[in-house]
Amino acid sequence: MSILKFENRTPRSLSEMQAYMFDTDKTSPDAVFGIGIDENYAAEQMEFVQRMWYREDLAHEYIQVIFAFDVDIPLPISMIVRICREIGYALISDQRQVLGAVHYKDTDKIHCHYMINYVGMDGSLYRQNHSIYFYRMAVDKILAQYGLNPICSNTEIGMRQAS
Amino acid sequence: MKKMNKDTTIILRASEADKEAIQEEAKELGMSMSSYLLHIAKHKQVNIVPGGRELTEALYKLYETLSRLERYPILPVTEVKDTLHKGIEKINSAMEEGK
Repeated sequence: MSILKFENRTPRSLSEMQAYMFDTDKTSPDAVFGIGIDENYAAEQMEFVQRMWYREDLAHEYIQVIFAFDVDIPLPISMIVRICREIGYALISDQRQVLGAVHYKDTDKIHCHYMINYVGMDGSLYRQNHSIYFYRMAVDKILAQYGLNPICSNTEIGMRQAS
Repeated sequence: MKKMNKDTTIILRASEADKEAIQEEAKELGMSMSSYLLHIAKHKQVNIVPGGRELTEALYKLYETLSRLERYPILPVTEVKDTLHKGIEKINSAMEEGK
């Protein structure tokens, strides 16, 4: 089963988070992508948008989302990146910059980190406009197109851990 | 940029005229009154980049187009992206200096 997690805590700054996502022990340049942004300069370009809308002193500069695939995914990295990019689009409901990085090295479960700018192109702040269930269904739809396992619910994760 | 949790309140008395003037200024900049006043208190001024917001929207669409064109090696996508970023860096620096 796949896992989708919205991370509430953002202890890292934009640039620190970008550096973590780009860690070459975990990923490679062709496994990093941007939505509406140059992935190589994601932090600066997100700050640029925040500056244009005078949203520089935010408690959270970005939203972090993590999507983890089920184990033993029989797909090449290029395809996994493509799927993660599609999932990235499903996580935003407006024009908003997203940095995505697939961590596939030295891990049991291939997963993708998303850094979503808290400030959108129209100056609006990220509001989880839809329920977790909505995002889960949208991602499950993408996974189904590729014949992949859907997302676990928290109940299912709890039951697995208990057994 | 520092992250600050807004966990305290400031109450400010003002004349109706002052309030309207601040509201108008804030509205023109697309800010709430409190964001505007906090910004002025911290930065002493508001740096306005004419067309800056339209530029951000145009850049978003441009980057989306460029990412689709990356599959065609003959197109100088990397060079275009680097040039775009130099422009953004320049504006970022100017706004930093303006502080």
